[in-house]
Amino acid sequence: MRLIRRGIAVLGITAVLATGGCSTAALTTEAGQLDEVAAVTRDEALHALLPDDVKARGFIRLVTDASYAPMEYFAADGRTIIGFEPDLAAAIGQVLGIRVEMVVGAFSTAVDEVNAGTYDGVLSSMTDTAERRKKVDFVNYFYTGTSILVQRGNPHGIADLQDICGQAAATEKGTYHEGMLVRLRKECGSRKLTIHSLPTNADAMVELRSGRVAAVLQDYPPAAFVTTDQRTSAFFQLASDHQYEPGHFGIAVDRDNDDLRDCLRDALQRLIDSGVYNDLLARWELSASGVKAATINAG
Amino acid sequence: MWKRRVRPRVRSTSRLFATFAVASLVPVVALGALVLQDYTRDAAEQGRAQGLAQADVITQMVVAPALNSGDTPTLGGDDLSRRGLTADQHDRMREATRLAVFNGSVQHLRLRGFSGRVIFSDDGSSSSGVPVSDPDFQAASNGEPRARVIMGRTRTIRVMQPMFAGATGQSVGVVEVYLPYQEIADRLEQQVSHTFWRIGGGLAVLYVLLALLAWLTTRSLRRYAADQRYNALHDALTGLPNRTAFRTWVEERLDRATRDGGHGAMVLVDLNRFKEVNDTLGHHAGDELLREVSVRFRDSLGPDDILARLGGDEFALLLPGRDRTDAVALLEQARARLTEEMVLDGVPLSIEASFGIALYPEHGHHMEELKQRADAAMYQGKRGTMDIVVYSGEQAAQPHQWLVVQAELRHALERDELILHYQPKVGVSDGTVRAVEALVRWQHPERGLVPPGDFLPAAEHSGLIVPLTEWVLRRALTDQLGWTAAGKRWVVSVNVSARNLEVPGFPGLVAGLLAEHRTAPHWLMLEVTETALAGDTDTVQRAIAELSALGVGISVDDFGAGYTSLSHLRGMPVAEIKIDRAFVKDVAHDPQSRAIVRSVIELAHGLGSRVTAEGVETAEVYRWLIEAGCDEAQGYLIGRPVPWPQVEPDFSLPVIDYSEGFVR
Repeated sequence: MRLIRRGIAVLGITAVLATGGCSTAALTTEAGQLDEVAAVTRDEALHALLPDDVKARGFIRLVTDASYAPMEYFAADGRTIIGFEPDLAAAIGQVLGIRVEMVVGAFSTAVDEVNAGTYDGVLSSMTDTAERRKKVDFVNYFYTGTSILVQRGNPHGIADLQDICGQAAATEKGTYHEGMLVRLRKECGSRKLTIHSLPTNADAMVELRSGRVAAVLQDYPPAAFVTTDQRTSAFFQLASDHQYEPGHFGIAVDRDNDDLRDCLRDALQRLIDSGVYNDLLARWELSASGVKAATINAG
Repeated sequence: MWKRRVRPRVRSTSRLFATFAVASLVPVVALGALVLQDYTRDAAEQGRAQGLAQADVITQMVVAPALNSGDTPTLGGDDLSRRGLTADQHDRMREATRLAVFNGSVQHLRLRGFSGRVIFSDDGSSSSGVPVSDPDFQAASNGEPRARVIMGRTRTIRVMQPMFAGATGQSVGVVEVYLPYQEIADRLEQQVSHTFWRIGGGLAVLYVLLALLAWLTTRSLRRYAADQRYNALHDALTGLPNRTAFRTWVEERLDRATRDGGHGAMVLVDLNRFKEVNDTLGHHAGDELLREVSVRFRDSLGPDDILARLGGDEFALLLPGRDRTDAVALLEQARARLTEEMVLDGVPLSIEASFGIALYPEHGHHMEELKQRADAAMYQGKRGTMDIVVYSGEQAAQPHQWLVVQAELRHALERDELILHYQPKVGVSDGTVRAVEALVRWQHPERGLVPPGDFLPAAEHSGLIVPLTEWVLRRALTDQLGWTAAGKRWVVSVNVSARNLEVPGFPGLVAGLLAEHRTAPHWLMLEVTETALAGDTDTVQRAIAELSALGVGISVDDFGAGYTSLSHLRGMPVAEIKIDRAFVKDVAHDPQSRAIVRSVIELAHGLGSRVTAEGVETAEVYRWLIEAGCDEAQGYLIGRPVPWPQVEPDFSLPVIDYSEGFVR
């Protein structure tokens, strides 16, 4: 009997993962089922602390640019968003007892949209920086550095950041890496660095694949993913194992939305405590980048 | 058909072959159909795959760049559905598709939102296109491209595929493309048609080859079977039908004869002295002889007659439609042909044969019955002087009855049913009885007195003659004691078969019996047939020598009727020679017989033997014998066989006969 119920619970979790957190039905899992595996449980106290408008609306909308496997990307059907972040969002939603929707949007304008109230937050591998903190608060859930991605065989012999000088490099518009490249350009001096800022990370990869740029800067996890995934590993490699300027990723929430921010942090802490967070990291092979505790604006 | 060794004709159509032909046609046709079906399906699949690939290229090279133009990235499929294209995107799409549509490379191209709304159409229409409920549309909106061939005025391939607008792999809608398929279809059809003819032709050739092989195989099988059948029914040596075949043929003919009232003859033929040829000239010569004989037989026969070799030197004929005269005439002709001299291994020889004839329906309706009777007739012929004998009732049936007789005779010995009669032999000079010949009679409890001719051959044949002779000897010696006591001094003669002489210890037996009866050996005479003497075996020679040494007289019975050569007599201790009745009965009339008898008398005397004439039935003969110098006489004139007390001790010629004969 116990075995059967346990089996049902596992199936429930699998269903959550399969739908990538987009399905309301899957997210509002019966608490009893999840108790069996001591996994995600709805926290009524936290639910009560959610802002009233959110409770009234019945869901939280997080904007994401789904071009960043394995963090967030499109499934084969071209419509479903999958990855570590959709899973994390779904788990947070379960703790808070509310549906969390992932909505595709442009990364460069995401923070502005949040400030404008279009979305409740950004969950899109966004690095917690001082500049962004002027507009939003961050609930930190991830810690990693930046990698240099080059074509397989490294035709331009890039081993370090300085080697990119005199070349063209691509990155997604509005990202931390764009900022890194801008800073690098100043150091390059006469060896002029050309920066291609593109709407999505995928567009940056197209530039690198087609040889229009020598390198792409991006976070270590997606860089590691494309260099090991069998469909792309033939084309890309890491310039080195070094991770530059490590820092936290955070869920960006409007500075005036402290209730939601704290709810998200507490929910994340619950997931860390219960082990669900580590389990999700492990599923996407991201365990190295996990955080020990949920923090706010850790930088 | 049976007369010549002809391979039975093989039927040109064989059921076996037909079965094979049909049975192998089924898998060949099935294989062809299967291959063709597969090929056709593959061709259609290939067409669809080609359509999909083409549509994919169009999407990536035409649609995606057009949608990605400008600063507004295409985000959110539903958004695109609602908002539609920007004027810039729309213009680029028009630019990109116009030439392709004009050239017919693309028949139609539409962009559809997930709701089904037409976002772009090459012809500007917004109401046309596949309904949202169409499975192809549903599949494409779920990320799965689909291609379908549409049969219209010309054939078109319709591709529904997800619209992956950018590098992120996000699908923003469905691309609906109509591509010309007629040319592809024509090419594929041509390929299928080529394949059809190639495979069809190949299979047809294969089938024909298989059929040919099967035909050859079944033909050789049929021939083999026919040969087997032929061999089973024919004698390998002569090519004549064998016993089995003969039986089949004859049964069929007899059945027909019984039904239709036909008649005919069955003949069994046995070669005389074939064994001698085999023994002296070898088996090869024997085989050659049989072949020659079968050829000669065949040459003498009519087209309806059946000749078969039953085995060894035994042949059988069925002569349908021939009566007694016809059959005998035919066989005489055949015999004449047969007895013509032939040369085997350089040795000229002539072979003779015994023919036994049984007629149907006169002597039976059935194979076995007729064969038995023909066999009986043939044996009769072998015993007698006639070569061609027609079955003539019970008297010839000994071989058949021998078994019964033998069994009964055994009992007869045990139950003392046999009795001895004695026929006197008188001295020609004085007419006194010198000796008596013991002749056995069988007092059968049911059949009365059975003459010796009815049971002695059977006894001779079975070996029963040995105990029978012993019985006769014992009884004769006992009887002799009787008449000696009565004052009669008669030698007793007992007939002895060649078989008795062949039994080791026979002389000892005789000596023992003589001692037992306290009889001097010279009071016993053993009569041996000429043929037995000619038996030529060492055992017989030795037995005779031993008996003679014992003092027992040896008499040669039936002299002149058998095959004795005079050399046999030389050195043989013969006390008496009995001239065969065949010569004696004719001496009154036949000068040749007289000459023979005279010579024999002279010969016997020359050898130191007595001469006894058998079968003396008239006074005339008796007188002639006196005159010729014969020593003793035996016959009905002198006395018939009777129990010994009835034997007349003296014989005198009737006066009238004497005077008449003398006068003449």
